[in-house]
Order: sequence, then C-alpha cells, then structure tokens
Amino acid sequence: MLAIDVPISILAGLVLSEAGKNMLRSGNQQKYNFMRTTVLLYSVFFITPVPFYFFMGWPAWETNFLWKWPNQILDSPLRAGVVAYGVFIFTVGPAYLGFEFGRFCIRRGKEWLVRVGYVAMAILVGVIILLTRKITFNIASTYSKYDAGEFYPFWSHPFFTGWLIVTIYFWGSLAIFYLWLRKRNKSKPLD
Amino acid sequence: MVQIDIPAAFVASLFFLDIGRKAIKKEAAEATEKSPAVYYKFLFRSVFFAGVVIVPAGIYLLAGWPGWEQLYWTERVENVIFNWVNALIPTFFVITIVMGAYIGHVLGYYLLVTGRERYLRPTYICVLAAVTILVIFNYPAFTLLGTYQEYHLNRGAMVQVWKNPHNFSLGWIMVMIYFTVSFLYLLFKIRKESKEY
Repeated sequence: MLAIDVPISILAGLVLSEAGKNMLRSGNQQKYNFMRTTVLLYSVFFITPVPFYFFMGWPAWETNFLWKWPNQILDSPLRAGVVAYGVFIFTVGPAYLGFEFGRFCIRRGKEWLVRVGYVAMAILVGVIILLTRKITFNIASTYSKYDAGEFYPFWSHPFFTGWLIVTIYFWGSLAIFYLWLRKRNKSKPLD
Repeated sequence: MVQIDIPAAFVASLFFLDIGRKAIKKEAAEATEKSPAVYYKFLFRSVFFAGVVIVPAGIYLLAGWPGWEQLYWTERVENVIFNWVNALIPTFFVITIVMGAYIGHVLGYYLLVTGRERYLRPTYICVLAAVTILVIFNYPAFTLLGTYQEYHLNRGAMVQVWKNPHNFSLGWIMVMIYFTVSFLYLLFKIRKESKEY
C-alpha cells in the first residue's frame, strides 16, 4: 500500500547503510561508490517493481482507496505519468535518502541513530497497518467495488498469492543484500 | 516499446562506457582492486539512467497504452486488474530493463579492461540494428493505437498515432524529449570527464 511504501523504502536504505557501515566510515571513494550503486540497484530491482505490481493488479487497494483515478489510467497521459514517476519517486527516492542519512550518521559516529531510524520506520509501518486494518485486510481491486462494498479477505487467492510472492521477493532480497554487505564490510580490500 | 526499452538499457550502458573508455582504462590500469571506483561510478550511471529515465518512460506507456507499448504481442498486459499473473508481467518488464543495464555494464567493462574494446561498438550497433529490424517487421503496429483485439481483428477501429488520440502523441513526444535531454546530459558529462585524462 502506498502509505507504507515510503517508510519501508527508508527502512531498506537505512538497513543497507548499517550493513556496510565500515565501508561508509572509511571515507574511501571506491567503497562509497560501491555502496550507493548497491543501494540504487537494490531499489530499482527489488523495491520499485513491488508497488508497481499492486498498482497494476489492485490499484484501489494500493492507493488506500483514496482516489478513483487509479482505475482509469488507460488512455490518460497525466494519470499514466503520475503512476510511472510516482512509483519511482516514492520508492527509489526514500531508499536513497535513507542510505545517505545512514551514511551521514555513521560518519559522525552516531550509528545508534541508524538503528533508531529503521526501528522507528518499522513501528510506523505497524501503526499505519493497524490504523488502516479495515481497508488493508479487506480487499477490493477497484474503487467501484470498494464503493459497492464488494470485499474479499486478504488471505484469499489471487490477492494473497501475488502478495506472498512480492513480499518474499522484497524481504528475502533485503535479507540477502544485508548479509552480503555485512560479509563485504568485513573483507579488506573491497574487490 | 518493450521491445526497444530493454535493449536500450543494455545499449546505453555500453555507450556510456564507450564514451568514457579513456578514463576507465586509465583508472582500471592504476587500480589494485578488481572493481575500482570507476567501475561503480559507471555502473551507478547506467543503473540510474535505466531506473530514472527508461523505467518510468516504459511504465508510463505500458500503464497508459499497454497494447501499443508491446506492439500488440499479447493481450495479457491489457487485463492486469485482479489478475496476479498478468500484473506480474509489467513488474518483470521493470526488472528486465534494470537487468539489461547491469549486463550491458558488466559486459562492456569486461571488454574494455581485457583489451577487447574493439568489440564494444560493434556489439551495441548490432543490438540497435536488430531492434530496428524487429520493430520494422511489426509494421504497422507502432503506427496504430488501440487494443490487442482491435489490432488483430478490426484494425479499422484503431486510430493512427499522428492523429494524437487522447493526447498520446503529445505524451510520447514529451517522453522522448525527457529521454534525449537526460541522455545528452550524461553523454556530455562523461565526455567532459574523459577529456581530463
């Protein structure tokens, strides 16, 4: 859902910066280039596709049933443009900012701020889900179905099947990247 | 178009390396690491260009005009709502563009630092030629706007793109301007940097 995409992207950027903290602390240009390229690759490869998937399949749910327009993207340059650039800006942007904030804190010896940052983002995501639980766990693919009260449970197919795949894709890749960066963080020199 | 966007990311990566070959070869020769700073600098540019320019441009056209964007090869992308398999297709499209940029960079860098740079330019020229031929073979798909069903069963119901239906052509021109300006900006930036070596 759009409401949690931004905090989750920030969380990913912070987590990855913590995983490569020694590389960021060193001030070495090669290590910094490696880290920011990794974060960018991770963002466009593993974050951007996820909200885009929900935008395509369940546009009303993805936008928290806030607007009707996501259902009518076809033949609309303005709406298509908003989706295309919006998805990118709300995923890669926060992840990169999270990473740069993490780097800023690590270079000033305030690593604890990075941990506080991603824990705060995780709590924020939990609070958003809790507050929006009625629309989060009751699915309507389009706004008209939402208006008509045609809901089905979160756990039912096909929504849950797709959700499970993209969730494993996102969190699984974040865990793999975290462990991989931690390993590279210990190795000297970087190659 | 899907058929252009994925190879375009691959070609752009190779092209940026070609423009900056002087700097890359010099820094790679001086570096002790397998992948020096210049490797990640160019990888960042390639992925950034693919992610910031090609992906949003592709998503824009795929979201607004799914049939035209993939030359009416499949109806699946027109039926994505409440269909978890079809909704994954545009997602794979995004992933493949980034993958194209990454592979282009890895291949191009390998050719440059292993003394095989003579293959760099022919590689991307061949890919560009192949893509052009592929698109031409799909004529008149790229000149008509409508749905998969209309293209295959009733072309008379389709509208020619130069008639600017639903401001499609205007949007397309804006996307092309965005692409060209971003591409030229990177090109001149890399050229300027490379001259300093």
